[in-house]
Amino acid sequence: MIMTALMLLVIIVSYLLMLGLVKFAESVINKVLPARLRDAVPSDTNAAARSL
Amino acid sequence: MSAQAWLQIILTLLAIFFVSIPLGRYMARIVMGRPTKLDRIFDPIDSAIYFLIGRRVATQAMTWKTYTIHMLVTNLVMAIIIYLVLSLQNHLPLNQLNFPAVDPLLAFNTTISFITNTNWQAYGGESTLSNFSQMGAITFPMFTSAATGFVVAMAWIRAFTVRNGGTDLGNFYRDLVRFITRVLMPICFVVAIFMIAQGAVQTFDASVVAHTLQGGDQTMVVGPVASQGTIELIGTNGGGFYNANSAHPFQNPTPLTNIVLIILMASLPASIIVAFGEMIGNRRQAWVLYGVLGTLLVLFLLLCVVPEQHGTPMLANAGIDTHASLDQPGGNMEGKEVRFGISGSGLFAAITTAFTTGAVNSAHDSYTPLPGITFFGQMMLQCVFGGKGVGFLNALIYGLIAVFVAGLMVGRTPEFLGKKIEKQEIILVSLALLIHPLVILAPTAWSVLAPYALSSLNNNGIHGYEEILYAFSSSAANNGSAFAGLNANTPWFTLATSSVILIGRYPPIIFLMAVAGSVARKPTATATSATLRTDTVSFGVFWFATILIVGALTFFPALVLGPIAEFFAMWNGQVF
Repeated sequence: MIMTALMLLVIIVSYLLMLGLVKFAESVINKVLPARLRDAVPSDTNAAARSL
Repeated sequence: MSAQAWLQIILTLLAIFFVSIPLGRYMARIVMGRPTKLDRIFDPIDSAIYFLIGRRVATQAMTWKTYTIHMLVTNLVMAIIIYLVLSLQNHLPLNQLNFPAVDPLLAFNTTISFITNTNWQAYGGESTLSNFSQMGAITFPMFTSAATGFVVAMAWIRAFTVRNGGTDLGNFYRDLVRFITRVLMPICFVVAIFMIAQGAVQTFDASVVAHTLQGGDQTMVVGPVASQGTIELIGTNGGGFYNANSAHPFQNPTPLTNIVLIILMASLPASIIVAFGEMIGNRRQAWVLYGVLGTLLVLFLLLCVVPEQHGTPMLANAGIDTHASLDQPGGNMEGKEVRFGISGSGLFAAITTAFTTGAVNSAHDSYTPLPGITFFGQMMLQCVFGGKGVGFLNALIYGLIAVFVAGLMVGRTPEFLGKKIEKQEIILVSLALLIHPLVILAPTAWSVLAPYALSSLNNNGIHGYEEILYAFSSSAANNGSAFAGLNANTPWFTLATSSVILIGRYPPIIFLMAVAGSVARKPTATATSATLRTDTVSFGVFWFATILIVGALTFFPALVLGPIAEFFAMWNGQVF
């Protein structure tokens, strides 16, 4: 019975960890991508390429 | 191989191709909410389900984050239900054979396995589960896990169709319900009836007693086999009612059902590529991807069936005729059903590992070494069409890397479908890509050094190593097929494969959904003459090369120690 409850807890904790990964992925997007790039409209892709 | 065998393979592949086109276009209409002729039937059903789960929740627009969280929470709730059904099956109905509750570790492993579309089975179905468990804990997640993979892929595609920096990737519940009621359910219903007509078993009874010719009695376990066996293949699930899976005559009764199941197993993942082209309004892009994955599939398929037909040098030295004739299929028939022969078994094995289904109709452990490269290679790449939705996403991971590398090589902005691919997308894509080898190679390396893992093996040396490598490759790829020869129902393998399944499934999906969210809010650039086009044959070749090179760099050493070493050992007179 204890083992059954323990494994159920492991399942729940596993998914909570996955929810934590969502926050991590969000931070990767928001930290790395500055607003000026996020909102920029590249009218000239050649110019954007040259700027790299 | 005989002309008949080649004809069987070619016609099956053509059937997959021609079925996938109308099916893909139908699926695209469903995802995009366009009217279909079946709406009059399904709209009331969907409305009733939306009413039950709450109409507001089922209709709200979701960002990538909301979509992903709802997906995870829904999966958690379903996982709890599955686990409780398995743990309490001795108190639940339809347990005529009085099976005890499933052991907690095994129930945990089975729950994780089936909620993630992996269907790795560390148990024998007919000797462990009641009919209620087979339906409530096995067949039920076969629908939802397949649909989960599909809807995530569809949300991802939407990210590339969002114009002017939007964030709406659809609604998880609406996508899930529509895919189950309008695609999976109708197909499964029709095919299950066909399977029953062919001789598959479908009953609530638990066993029948047959009086044998020798005068004895033999008890045979029966149950709702046809309904489970159908979604098992169509949903690229793979968890069989019986331990023998699709080799069991009650589940896969005739060569005709074998071919139909192969076609169905491959049709939906192939259809997703077609749906992709419809949704982005660029069929040419979809055909480029279809061509890349189709070429990989054909190459891996040939590597599976041709060596198997040649058999082994030992068979030839023993004077055994391995040539196909009207009297025998020839080749290496060890571990294969006589009903299906080399082509019916090899084709099934290649398709089940390519489309990461995991159902088997032959013992993969008994194949000659070179087909092992097909099994391992396809699960390691996980994008030779792959499982429903997830395989498609993996193919696009390689596509984004190809875009990034090619764009930088020729000095153009890396763009895919008009969206700029930048640092943060590549970070997340790389993470998603690296998780897969990590969860295969690290536990394999640990297991070959650990006495408690080695004690599970039935073979030593190269083949024993392959049994372990296969277990983790199959788990990580959400495949679920077993190489056989490995006792996975031990604390180590139960916990290790469960962890690998979880990490191999959700983090890549989360990272890719984040990529979707990132590209969705970017404006769509207008294609100019300077844009690197991704819907050309030349980019398709580059995409193909990227998959092979990245895949080979990652996994080739592991393959050298396994099937390739076994191949040379075979020519030196040693088989396992």
